[in-house]
Amino acid sequence: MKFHGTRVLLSALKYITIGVFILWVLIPVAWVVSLAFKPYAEWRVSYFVPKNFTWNNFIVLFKSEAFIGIMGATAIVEPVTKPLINSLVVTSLSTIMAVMIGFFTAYGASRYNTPGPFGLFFTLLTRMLPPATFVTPIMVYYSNLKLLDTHFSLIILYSAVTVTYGIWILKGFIDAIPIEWEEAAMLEGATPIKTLFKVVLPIARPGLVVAGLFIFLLTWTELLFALVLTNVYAVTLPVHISKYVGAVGQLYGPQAALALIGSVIPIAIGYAIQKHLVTGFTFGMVRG
Amino acid sequence: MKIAKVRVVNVTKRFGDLVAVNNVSFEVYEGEIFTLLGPSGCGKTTTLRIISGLEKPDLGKVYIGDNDVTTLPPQLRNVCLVFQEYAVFPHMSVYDNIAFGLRVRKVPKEELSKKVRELAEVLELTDRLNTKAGRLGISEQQRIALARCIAVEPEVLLLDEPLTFADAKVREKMRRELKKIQRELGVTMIYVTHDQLEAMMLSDRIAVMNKGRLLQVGSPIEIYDNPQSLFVAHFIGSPTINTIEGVLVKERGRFLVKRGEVAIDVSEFMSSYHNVESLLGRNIVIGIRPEDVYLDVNGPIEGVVEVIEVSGERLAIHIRVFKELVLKALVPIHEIVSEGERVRLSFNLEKVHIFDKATEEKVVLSRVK
Ligand SMILES: Nc1ncnc2c1ncn2[C@@H]1O[C@H](COP(=O)(O)OP(=O)(O)O)[C@@H](O)[C@H]1O
Ligand SMILES: [Mg+2]
Repeated sequence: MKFHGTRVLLSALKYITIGVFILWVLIPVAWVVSLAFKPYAEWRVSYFVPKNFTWNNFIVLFKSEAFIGIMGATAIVEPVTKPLINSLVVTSLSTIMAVMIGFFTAYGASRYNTPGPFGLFFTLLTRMLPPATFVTPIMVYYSNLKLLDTHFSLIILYSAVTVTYGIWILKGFIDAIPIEWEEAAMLEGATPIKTLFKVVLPIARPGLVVAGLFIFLLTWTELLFALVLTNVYAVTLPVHISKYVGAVGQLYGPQAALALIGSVIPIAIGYAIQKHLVTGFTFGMVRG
Repeated sequence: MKIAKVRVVNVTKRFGDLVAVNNVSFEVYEGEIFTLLGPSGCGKTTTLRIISGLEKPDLGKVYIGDNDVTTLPPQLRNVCLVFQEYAVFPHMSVYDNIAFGLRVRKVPKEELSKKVRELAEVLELTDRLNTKAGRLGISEQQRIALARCIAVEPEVLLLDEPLTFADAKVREKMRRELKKIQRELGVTMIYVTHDQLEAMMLSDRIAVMNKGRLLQVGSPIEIYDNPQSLFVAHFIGSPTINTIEGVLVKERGRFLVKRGEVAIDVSEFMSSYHNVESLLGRNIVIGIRPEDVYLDVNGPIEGVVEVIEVSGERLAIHIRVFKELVLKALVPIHEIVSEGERVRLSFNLEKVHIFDKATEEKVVLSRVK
C-alpha cells in the first residue's frame, strides 16, 4: 500500500510539473489572444476574457492612421497590408533561395566532399557572430549600392545568413540517401544533372520541407536586419509590429492582433505541409 | 567460335590498405551467364562495379566488345546493374521505374508504354504498375529493377546477388525465369552470388573468387570435378568435400598419409601416377567428394557410422575412421545401414584430388599409361 501511495504521489508530481510548463508557455500566448479581442478600455486590465468582445483591433490594422486616433492614442502607423505582403514576398523568396542553394551545396558536400569539412564548418560563421556586429557595415554597403529599403537587399541578406541551416539540415538527409539510387540512374543513361533532379531531389523532398519550414520561421520573425535596412518601402511584419508600441503611443490591442496574424501564417503553412514533415521524420522507412 | 563480350584484364582495386580485387583477369563470352562466386567480402561486387564503370580500377583494363571502356563513365557503357539493395527508385511508381531509362533515351510514348507493359507482363508486375515502388517487398523490387535494366537493352546485364532476400520458393522460380529471359534475349549476363548451388544451377561458366583473387574459371561441371585449389574444392559441393591431411610416407612398399594416429593407405591411388616419389615427406591434403566414397565390404578403410542424414535422394553417412577423422559418404537412399555399425569404405580412385598443404594448390601428377 505504501508503495502504491508513493507511485501516485510521483505521478501527481509529474503531471503538476508538466502543467506548470504548459502554463509557462501558454500564458503569454493566451494573453496576446485575449488582448487582440479587447477594446481600448480593457487593454490594461488583467482578466483574460474580454467584457466587450471586438474585432476592431484587426479592422484598424488595415486602415490609415486617422482611425487609430479615434481609439484614444495618437500614433501614425501605415496600414498593415504592405508590410504583410513584403514579409510574405521576402520570406518566401529568401527561403526558396536558401533551401535550393543549401541543397546543391549539401549535395556537393555529401557526395564529393566539397568544400571540405572546414569549408562546410565555415558556412556557420554567419550564425556565430551576433548579427548586431555586422548589420552596420552591411547597412553602409547597401547604402553605397543604393540597395537600402529594397526587397532585393533583404532577400539576399536573409538567404545568405540562413543558407547554412539549409546546408546542414539537407546534408543529413542526403547522407542518408543510398548512393545506389544515383548509380542506378546513371547506368540507365541519365546524366549527373538529370540524376540530381529526377532522383535525388524528389527523394530528398522531406528534407527540403523541413529545412524550408525552419528557415521560413527564422526569417519570418527576424527583426534587427529589417529594422536597420528598411524604412518605408520594404518594411516587414516584425518591424511593423514594433511600430504600434513606441514613443508615439501604446496600441497594445492592434499590436496583439497583428502578432496573432503574424503567427497564424506560419502555423497555417506548417499545417499544410505536415504530411511531408511526417515523412521527413520517418525517412528511414523509404529505404530498402 | 566464342566471342568475348567482356574482358577484364589484370584488374586491381584497392581501398586504402585493403586489396579488394587483386590482379583479376577473365573473359565473358557473348550470350552466356557468367557467375562470380565467392564468400562475402571476396571482391565480387567491386569487380562488378568496375565492369559497370561505377568504380575505376587502380590497375588493369576493361573491354566491352572491342572497346577499351576502362575510363568511360557508366552512362556511356550500355551496361546495366541490378543492385543487391536499393534496387528501385522508391518515389516513383513501378511504371515510372521501368520507363526511366527509356525516357532518358527519349523513346516515343507509345513504344515506351508498350515495352513497359510487355516487361511487366513477363515479370508479373502488371497489377502493380501504379504502386509506388518503395512500398513493395524486396523480391518485387528486384523484379522491377530487372525489368528496368532489360528495358534499355544493355549489351551486358550485371546482377549483384539479386535473389538474396527472396525466400526459397520465390528464389527457385526467379532463377528459372532469369535463365529463361536471358536465353530469350540472348543478352550477356554477369551474375554475382555467394551461393554455390545457385551458381551451379544458373551459370554457363563460373569464376570462383576468394580474398580478391580469382581462383578458377570453368563450367559448373569442370569446377566441381576438377577443383584446382583446396578453397574451390571446399566451397563447391554440398555436403562439402572430405579432406584428409597428413604427410605422405612410404612404409614397407606402401604409400600412407599420416598425421598423429591417422594413417590412410593410398597405395592403390598413387600406383597409377609417375612422379609420386617427389611428394614423399610433403604435407598434402587428399580431397574426395562424399559421393565418391563407397560402402564396400572389401574396402581398405574401416570406421563406425556416427550419423545418418537424408540428403535429397541420398543418405549422407558420417563415418568415424579415427578419433580425428570423420569421412562423409553419399549413398543411395535404399542402402541398409544403421548408426553405430562398423563399415568398410573405398574411394573412387578417379575422383581423388591431391593438394599441397602449404600452397593449397592442386598437385599435378602424371598418370602411368
Ligand atoms: N567503397 C569501399 N570502401 C572501402 N572498402 C570497400 C569499399 N567497397 C568494398 N570494400 C571492401 O572491399 C572488400 C570487397 O568487397 P565487395 O566487393 O563488396 O565484396 P563481395 O561483394 O564479394 O561481398 C570488402 O572487404 C569490403 O569491405
Ligand atoms: Mg557484394
